[in-house]
Amino acid sequence: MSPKEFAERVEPHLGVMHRMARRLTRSRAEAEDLAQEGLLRAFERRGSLRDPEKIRSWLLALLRNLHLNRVRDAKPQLVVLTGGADFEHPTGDLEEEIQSRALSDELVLALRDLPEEQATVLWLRAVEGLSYEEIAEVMDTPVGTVRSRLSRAREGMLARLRRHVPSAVGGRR
Amino acid sequence: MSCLSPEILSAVLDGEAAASEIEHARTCPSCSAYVERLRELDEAIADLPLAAEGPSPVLAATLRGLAARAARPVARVARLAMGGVVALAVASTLLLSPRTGTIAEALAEQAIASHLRAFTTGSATGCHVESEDPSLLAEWLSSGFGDRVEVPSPAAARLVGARSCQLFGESTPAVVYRTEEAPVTVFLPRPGTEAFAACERAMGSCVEGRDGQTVCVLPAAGGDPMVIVGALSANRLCEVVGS
Repeated sequence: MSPKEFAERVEPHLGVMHRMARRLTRSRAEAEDLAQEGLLRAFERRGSLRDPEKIRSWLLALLRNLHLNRVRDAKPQLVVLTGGADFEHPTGDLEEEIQSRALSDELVLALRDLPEEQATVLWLRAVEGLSYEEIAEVMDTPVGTVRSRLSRAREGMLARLRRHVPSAVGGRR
Repeated sequence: MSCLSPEILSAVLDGEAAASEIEHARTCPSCSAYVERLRELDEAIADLPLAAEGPSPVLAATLRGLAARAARPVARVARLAMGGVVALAVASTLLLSPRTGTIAEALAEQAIASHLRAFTTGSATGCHVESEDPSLLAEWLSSGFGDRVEVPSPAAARLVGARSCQLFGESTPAVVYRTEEAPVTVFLPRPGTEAFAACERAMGSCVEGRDGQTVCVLPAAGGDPMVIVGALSANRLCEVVGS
């Protein structure tokens, strides 16, 4: 695959790579580094992509493995002394904004609390719309495992939301 | 039929269950209510601000840089004389055969990305600490990295600050300078890291990278390699750090 063809095939998936990196890491800078390195590694290994139609799951699998290797080899990091979080300013109805923000924050926290393989499966399904088969390729796991992890992830999320934001979920089944 | 398990109902939501199961979930009030809660959950996750984020400009620029390798298949590499003083032998530029995806190119690409990112995101300089005092920056970097980090003090550049960044996924000390023309980042890979090994192999060379950036790998005062990045000619870059 030529560099130009690689770029054409990868370009539509930069967004999903970015979001995956953001979800896997704890800061925007870390995510940028992960996505960047993932892209370079993908370029270096483009010869190993057997089916170009499956490039999205191939890219995501590579990115996730890179992240898992980084976590495994993690060394103590310097503390960042400056720079802040990404603040958003409330707009419109403040009360609604606060409620919506509470749900949003709780969802983010709940996702972070899930085991990584469950959170990733749920994210790829709910946000990126990947099929079970594609998710199985990303996670290098059987489709049946995807199905059970997805169910456990959703149950875990609902249970947590029931405890912390009861108004956000319906009654007990 | 009694109520379906949560796993089956989760698969129902995704259209990955058997037709009979989907039909049951549609008609059973309890099961359909559960599927509806799962649907609301998925929709709430898909509404998170992160779900709407697009790729960063740096990532898109990196891809453009990779694609452009087809347009300039011959890498222009300036091989510099090595030794105590960096000789400006850029005029004797060597043309090397294309080696897309080599470690040296990956090093250059990552160094450029990190350099550009420092000046396009976060604080204006991308520094974790800002100071013109090399000893203060050396102390901060040394305490963070656990061994002595020497901060170069070239006369032709003003010291701005220091930061920790990632090269090959490893934390690497970096020092930021300003010259009259452009900001310059000097990375100081630690011995034993992949970046250090890549630098040793690329020692004494300059690469014209994307977005007008030049990357040079040169020996620092102690002989360890340093990676210098800036939107300057290779001649000028070497002049700055050699001063």
